[in-house]
Parts: sequence; structure tokens; C-alpha cells
Amino acid sequence: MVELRHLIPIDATPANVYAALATEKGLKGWWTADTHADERVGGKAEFGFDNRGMVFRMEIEELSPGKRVVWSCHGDHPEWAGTRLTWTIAEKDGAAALRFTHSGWKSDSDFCVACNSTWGELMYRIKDYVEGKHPGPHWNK
Amino acid sequence: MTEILHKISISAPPSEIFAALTEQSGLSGWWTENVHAEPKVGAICRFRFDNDTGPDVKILELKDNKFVRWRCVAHSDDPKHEWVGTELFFKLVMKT
Repeated sequence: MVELRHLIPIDATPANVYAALATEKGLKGWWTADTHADERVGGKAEFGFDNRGMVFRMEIEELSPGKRVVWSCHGDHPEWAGTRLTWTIAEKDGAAALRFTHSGWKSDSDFCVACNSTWGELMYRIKDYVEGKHPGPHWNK
Repeated sequence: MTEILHKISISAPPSEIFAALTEQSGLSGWWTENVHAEPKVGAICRFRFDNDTGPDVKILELKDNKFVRWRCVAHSDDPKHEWVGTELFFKLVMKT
């Protein structure tokens, strides 16, 4: 199993980082404008890309305010189905550190490693969003 | 051992990407301006960041417009820096 891992410091409170990951408004601010996310454990989150040319469907497994968000992916992309996405927020000297793990990949396929590069870009987009720089979502439709 | 893997599409000929990874002018255009590099197998490229610290990488392999392999042989900060002993490999493929 392959795991993708990222870590970025964010000059913000853990509560603000959490809001970018746990609310529909927050997720629309950096990932895709086509986001529909429940804000409760056991709920669903759907992320559409390129006019729903692809949709990632998540179940929300954990929401620990200011600390942790966990999703499991159930489709539609065959390589994403069965993966787990874990966001962990730590506080250090009044700032936050966001760690991300995308685990459960079956292999380090070209698609998987290209997703790793995209996650790297998205980590910076989350940072800019939480720090109030209004980057907008990576995908607009 | 941990491996970090990435892949990106670039709208440019492989020769330009190869130059970005091997020439001093290329490397200084995206990584750090404080770099000394020579596109020659066996050469040591020195990258320096804030506080003038950074890694020294040795060029282990070069294949024109196809691949580049480096080994981090030293770090100005600390001889036991996590980068020391790691290898960095760039592979270019033409998209059909």
C-alpha cells in the first residue's frame, strides 16, 4: 500500500485550519467550487471536477474540531476508491501545522504520483486560503 | 526507506526541461538563485537557501533530455542532515 504525505505550517489558529477542511464553504475555498459536504460524522462529501467529469465521493469518518478530519473515499475513480484521507492539525507557538496523509493506494501508478504533486500544490492553496489570501478553488467547475 | 514520488505534465520540449534540471541558469530559475551547477557527470552542484545553508548533490547520471540522477553527498548545515545519502531522480517522457 502506498501513502502520500504532506505537512505545511499555516499562520492561523487550528480552528481556522479546521474550518477549511470541515465545512462546505471552506472546502470550496481551495479545492473545487463543486463541493457538497455534510458537516457531521457519517455524512457524505462530494467533490466534482471539470463539470463532473470526475466526482470523488467521501464518507466523513471523523470530525474533531481543531484537531482532525478523516474521510474514506468510495469512488468514483477506481484508484481513489478504498483510500483514506486524514487531516491532522497541530498547534505550535500560536501557529498551526497541517499534516495530510492519503493512504490505501494500491500502487504508485502514474496517476497516484501525479495526485501527489497536485496535493503538494493544494497544501499551499489551503495555507493561502486560511491565511486570508483568497486563492480561490483549484477547480472552478 | 521512504520514497517521495511526483509527476507533472509540462507543455515544453524535453530539451527545455532537461536544461531546467541541469544548467545553472535553469536551476536558478526555479529552485534557488544561489546555486553552482555544471551539467557534467561527477560534478557537485551546490544549492544554498536562507542563511546560506543547503545541500551538495553529486551528478551520478545524465542522459540528454531523458534523465538526471543526483545523490546528496553533503549538507552545509549538518553532516547527518536527512537529505545526505538520498538520491534524486528526474525522468522525462514525451507524451504521445
